[in-house]
Amino acid sequence: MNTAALYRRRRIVNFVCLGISLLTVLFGLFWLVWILWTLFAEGLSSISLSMFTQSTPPPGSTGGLANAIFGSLLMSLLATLIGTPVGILAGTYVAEYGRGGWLGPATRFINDILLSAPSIVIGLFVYAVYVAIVQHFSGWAGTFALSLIVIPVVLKTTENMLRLVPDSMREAAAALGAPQWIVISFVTLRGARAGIITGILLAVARISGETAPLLFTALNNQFWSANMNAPMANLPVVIFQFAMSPYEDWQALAWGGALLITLSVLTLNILARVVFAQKSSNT
Amino acid sequence: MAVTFVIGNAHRLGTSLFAPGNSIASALANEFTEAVGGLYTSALIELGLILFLITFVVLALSKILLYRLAKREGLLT
Repeated sequence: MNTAALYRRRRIVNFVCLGISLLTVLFGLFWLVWILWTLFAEGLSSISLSMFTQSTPPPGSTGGLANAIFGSLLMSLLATLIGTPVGILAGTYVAEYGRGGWLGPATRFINDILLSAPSIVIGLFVYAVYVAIVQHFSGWAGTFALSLIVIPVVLKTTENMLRLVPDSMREAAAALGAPQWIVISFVTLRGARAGIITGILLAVARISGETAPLLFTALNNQFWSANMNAPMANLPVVIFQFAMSPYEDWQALAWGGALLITLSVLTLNILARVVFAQKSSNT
Repeated sequence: MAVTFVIGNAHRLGTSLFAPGNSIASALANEFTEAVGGLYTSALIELGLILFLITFVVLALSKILLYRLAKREGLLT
C-alpha cells in the first residue's frame, strides 16, 4: 500500500520535472528559431550574385559585400594560422609537461580569463600596443586581435582533449622505450586529433563573427583592398555600420551579410560536430 | 557589444530599465574611434580596464568556488 503511493508520487514528480525541463528546452529553441527566421526573412532577398562580386556601395547605388567578405576571409585565415600553433603547443605543455609545477595551473587560469575576456578589451589592447604605435589602422592589427581570440580557444580544447587520452596509453608507449616527445607527438596528440580539429573549427567560427576586436584595429574600408598594412573591410564591421545607418539599401545589405555570416558559422559548427563524431568513432 | 544596436547609447544614469542607457562595451564601440584628445581616449581605455577587472573578479571567484568543490570532493572520497 505505502510503497504503491510512494511510487505514484515519484512518478508524478518525475513527470512534472521532465515537463518543465522540456518546456525550457523548447523556450531556448524558440528564440533560436525566431532569430534564424527573422534573418532569413530579412536577408534572403539581398543575397545575390552582385553581393559576392561588387564592393560596398555608397548609399543609393547598387553594390555588394565582396571586399568585406574577402577581408573577413583573409583576416580569419591569417589569425587562425597564427593562433593555432601557439594554442596547440601551449595546450600540449599544460596537459603533458605542466602537470606538477606551478606554470601549468597558472597558464590555465590566465587562459580561462583570456577566453572569456570581453573581445572589445582585446581590440583596445591591440590598439594600444600596435595601432597607436604605427599610427594607422591595418589588416595586420585586426589579424593580431583575432589571433588573440583564437589562442585561448585552441589551448583550452587541446588541453581538454589531451586529458581525455588515458594515461595507460602514455605508459604503454613509454614502456616501449619511446621518449616523452615521441609519446606526445605520435600517441597522445594523434589520439586527440579529432578533438583538436574540432577546437580549431570552433575557434574559426568564433572569430568570423567578432565585431568588437576589429573596430579599432582593422577599422573598415569602402573599397577593395588586399593590402594588409591598410585599413581592411570586414563583414562584421560593415554589418555594424550598415545596420545602424539610415539608408534602406545599406540596411538590406547588412541583413544579407548577417545571414551570410550566420550560415557560415552554422556550417562550421555542423562540420566540427561531424568531424568529431566520425573521427572519435573510428579510433 | 551586440547590445549597441538596441540599448540607445544615452549618456545618463537612469534608474529605469526601459529607458535608453549605455553599456561599457557599446560606449567603447561607438566612441573610441571618434575620441579626440588624450583625456577622452584615456577615459575610454579606463572603461575597458574596468570591464576587464569585472571579468577578472567574477572569473577568479568562480575558480575559487571550483577549487573548493574539488578540495571537498577530494576529502570525501
